[in-house]
Amino acid sequence: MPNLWFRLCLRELKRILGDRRIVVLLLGGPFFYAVLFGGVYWNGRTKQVPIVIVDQDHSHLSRDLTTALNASENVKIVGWVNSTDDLLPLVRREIAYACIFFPPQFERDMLAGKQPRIGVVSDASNILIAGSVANGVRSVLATYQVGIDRIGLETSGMPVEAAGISAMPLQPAIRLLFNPTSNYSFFILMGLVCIAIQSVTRMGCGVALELDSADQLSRAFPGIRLSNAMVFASKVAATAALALPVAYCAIALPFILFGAPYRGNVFVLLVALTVFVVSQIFIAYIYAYLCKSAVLCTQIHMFMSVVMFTLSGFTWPYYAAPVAIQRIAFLTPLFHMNCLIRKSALVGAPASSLYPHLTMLVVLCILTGIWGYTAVCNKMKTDAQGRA
Amino acid sequence: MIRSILNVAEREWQWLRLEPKYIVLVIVAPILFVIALGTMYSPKKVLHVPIAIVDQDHSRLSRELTRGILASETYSFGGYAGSAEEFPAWVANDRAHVFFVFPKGLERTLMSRQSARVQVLIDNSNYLAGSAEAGSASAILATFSVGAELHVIEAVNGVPKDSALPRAVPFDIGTRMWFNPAFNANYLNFMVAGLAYVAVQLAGLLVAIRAGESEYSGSRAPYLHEVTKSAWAALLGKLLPYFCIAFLVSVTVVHLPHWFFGAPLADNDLSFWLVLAWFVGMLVTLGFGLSCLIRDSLYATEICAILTLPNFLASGYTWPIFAMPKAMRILAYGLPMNSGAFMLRKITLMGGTLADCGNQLAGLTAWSILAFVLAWRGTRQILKAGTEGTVTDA
Repeated sequence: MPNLWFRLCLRELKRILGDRRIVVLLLGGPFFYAVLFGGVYWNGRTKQVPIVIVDQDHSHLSRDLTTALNASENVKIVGWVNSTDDLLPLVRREIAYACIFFPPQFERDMLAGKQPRIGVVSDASNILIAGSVANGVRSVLATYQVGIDRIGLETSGMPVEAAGISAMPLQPAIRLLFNPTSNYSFFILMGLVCIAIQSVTRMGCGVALELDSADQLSRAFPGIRLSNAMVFASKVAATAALALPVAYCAIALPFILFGAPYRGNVFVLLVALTVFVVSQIFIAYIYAYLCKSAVLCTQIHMFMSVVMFTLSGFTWPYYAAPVAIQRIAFLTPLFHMNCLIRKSALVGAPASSLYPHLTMLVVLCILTGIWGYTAVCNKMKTDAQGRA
Repeated sequence: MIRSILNVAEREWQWLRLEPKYIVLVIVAPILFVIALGTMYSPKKVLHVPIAIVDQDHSRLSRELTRGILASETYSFGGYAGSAEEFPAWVANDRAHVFFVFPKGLERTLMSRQSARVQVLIDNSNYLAGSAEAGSASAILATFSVGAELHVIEAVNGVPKDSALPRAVPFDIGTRMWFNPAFNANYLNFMVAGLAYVAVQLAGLLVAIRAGESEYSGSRAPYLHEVTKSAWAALLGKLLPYFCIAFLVSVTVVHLPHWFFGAPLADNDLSFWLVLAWFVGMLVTLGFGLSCLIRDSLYATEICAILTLPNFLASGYTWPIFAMPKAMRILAYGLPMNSGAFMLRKITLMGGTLADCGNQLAGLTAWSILAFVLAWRGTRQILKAGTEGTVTDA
C-alpha cells in the first residue's frame, strides 16, 4: 500500500515537472514576483518628489525657505515658475507634481505680525506623492514656525527660555513603531509574496488536476483499483513537496534580500505557511472541478488575485473596511496569513497572539480539504462515467 | 471587403455561442471585480482605528484631550491602558493601533508655563493606516496646542486676542489638492479607478485568448480560408466581435466607480473614448496574436497572467515611477497597463489631452505595433494552414 502511494506521488511529480506550463508557474512564479516587487519598492520611501516654486516675494525669507525645502529629502526643486497656473501642464507631463507659492509681501507681512499664507498646490491623484509633499513641506515649515514664533515672543519682551516653551506649549511626540522609517517595502513586500504564492499555487495545481483523468490513471496503473483517498493524498503530497520549498524560499526573500525586519517566531511562521500552501492546493482542486477547464480556471484566478490581495487587508486595513467585507475577508486563508506574517515580522508578536490566526488557518485548511477531496472524487467519477 | 469582414465576424460569433462560459467570465468578472474593490474602499478614508488612552494625569486637560481625540472620526475607543509598555501586546491582539499617553503632571506643567509632552504611539506596520493615524493625531494635538498657546500669549503678554492668533500661528499653510479634491487620504478616487484598468486589461487580453488556437483544432466549420482569402478581412473580422465585447465591458467597468461610489470621471472628451478604444483594441489584438502563435490557449493565458499579475503594482499607478530604481522605471514604462491607464488618468482626472501623454503614447504605440505584428502573422498562418490542409481534424 505505501509502495503504491509512493508510486502515485512519483507519477504526479513527473507530470508536474514534465509540463512546462505548470512547472514555470509553480516553481518560478513566487521567485519572479518576489524579486520584481522587491525591485520596485527598493527605495522604500517616496522621496525627491519633483516640485516647482512660485516666488512672488523675492525676499530673504522666501529664499531661505526654498533652500530649506530643497534640503528636505521628501522634495526636489526642479524649477521656478511664474504662477500656480503653470503647474498643471507640468503635472500632466510628469515634470513636477506640486508647487510651493510665496505670495507678494510675504516677508513684510510676517515682520508686521500678520499671518501670511504659503500656498501648496499638489497633485493628489496619487496619494503617496501628495502625502510625501505634504509631509516635507509641513516639517520644514513647522521648524520655521516655531523659530519665528519664538523670535516674535522674545522681541515682545519675553525671556528666551519662556519664549521657546510658549512657542510650542503642547508637544506631540509621535512615535511610529514597528516600521519607524515608514519603509513601504517592509510593509507591503511580504504581503505581495503571499499573494504570489497563493496565485501561482492555485493556477499550477488547478491546471495539474484538470489535465489528469481517471483514464490516464488506470492506464498508468493497469489492473490496480485505486481508492480516491489514495489518489487525493498522493496528489496533495506531491504538489506540496514542490510548492512548499518554493514558498519557504520566496517568503525568505523580503527578509534576506531586501532587508525587511523579522522579529517574531520563525517556527510559527513556517507552520502557518505550510498550512496556507496546503489549503491553497485544496482550493485549487475545488476551482478546477467547478470550472472543468484549465483555461477557465486560470482566468478566474487571474481576476481574483488582485481582489483577494485587497480583501486580505494588507494595504487597506481590515478595520477600515465595511463590516460585510471584513466578514468575507475573515473566511479567506490569505487574510489570516497576512495578519500572522505582519504581526510576527514587524510587530514581533508572541506566539500566543498568533494562535487565533493559526487556528483559523487550520480550520479553513480542514474545511477546504474536505471540499477538495469531494471535488477530486467527483472528477474521477465524472471521468469514469464519460469513459463508460 | 466589408462583407467578408462581417462574414468572418458572424462565424466567430457562432463559435463563441458554443461555449458561453468564457464570455460570461469576461463580462461578469470585471464588473464583480470593480464592485468588490469599490465596496472595500467605499469608506474613502481610514476610519474607526481602535485606540487606547493611557491617562496618567487624570486631569481636566487630559479628559478634554481624550474627548477631542474621540470626537475625531478617524478613531474609535478601544479602552484605557495602564502604560505605554502595553502597546505591542494591544497591537498584537488587534485591540488598539494607536496609544495616546498623557504623562503625570501634564496639566500642572502646562499651567506653570512649561512645555508639556503628549506621547502618541502609532502602529506603522501598515504604512497607509499609520500615515492616516499620524496625520489625524498631529491635527488634533496642534489644535489644542494653538489653543493653549493663544491663551498663554493673551494672558502672559497681554496681547489682544486678534493679534494673538497670528502670533500663535505665524504661517498659514493653504493647501490645495488637485484631481482628488476630497484628498484627506481619499483612496476611493485614487485606487479604485486604477484597479478598474486592471479589470479592463484582463478582459481585453483574455476575451480573444482562444480565438486563434481554436482555428487549428479542426472543430470549426467552415474553415477560415473558406470564408475569406483576404488576411485583412480575416483579421478584422475575427477581432470585431471580441473588440465589441471587451469595449462594452471596459466602458462599464471604468464608469462603475463613478456611478456606484461617486469617484470623479471626466469622460466628456473625445480623447477618453479614443484612448479607451485604442487601449482595448491593442489588448484584444495582443490576446489574439498570442493565441494564434502559441496555439495553446492555456499557455497563452499563463503568459497573460505573467504580464498582468505584477502590472498594477509595478506600472507606477500606486508607487510613483520616479521613486523606483532606474532599471525598474524602464520596466514600468514598458508594461502594457502603464500606457493605457496613465493616459486615461490624465484625461479623466487631470483634464489633459493626448498632447500631454508623450511617454504613454510611445508605449501604447509600441505595444500596438507588437500586437498587430503578432496578430497579422497569426492570421496568415491560419489561412496558410487551412489552404495547405494542415489543420488537425477534431
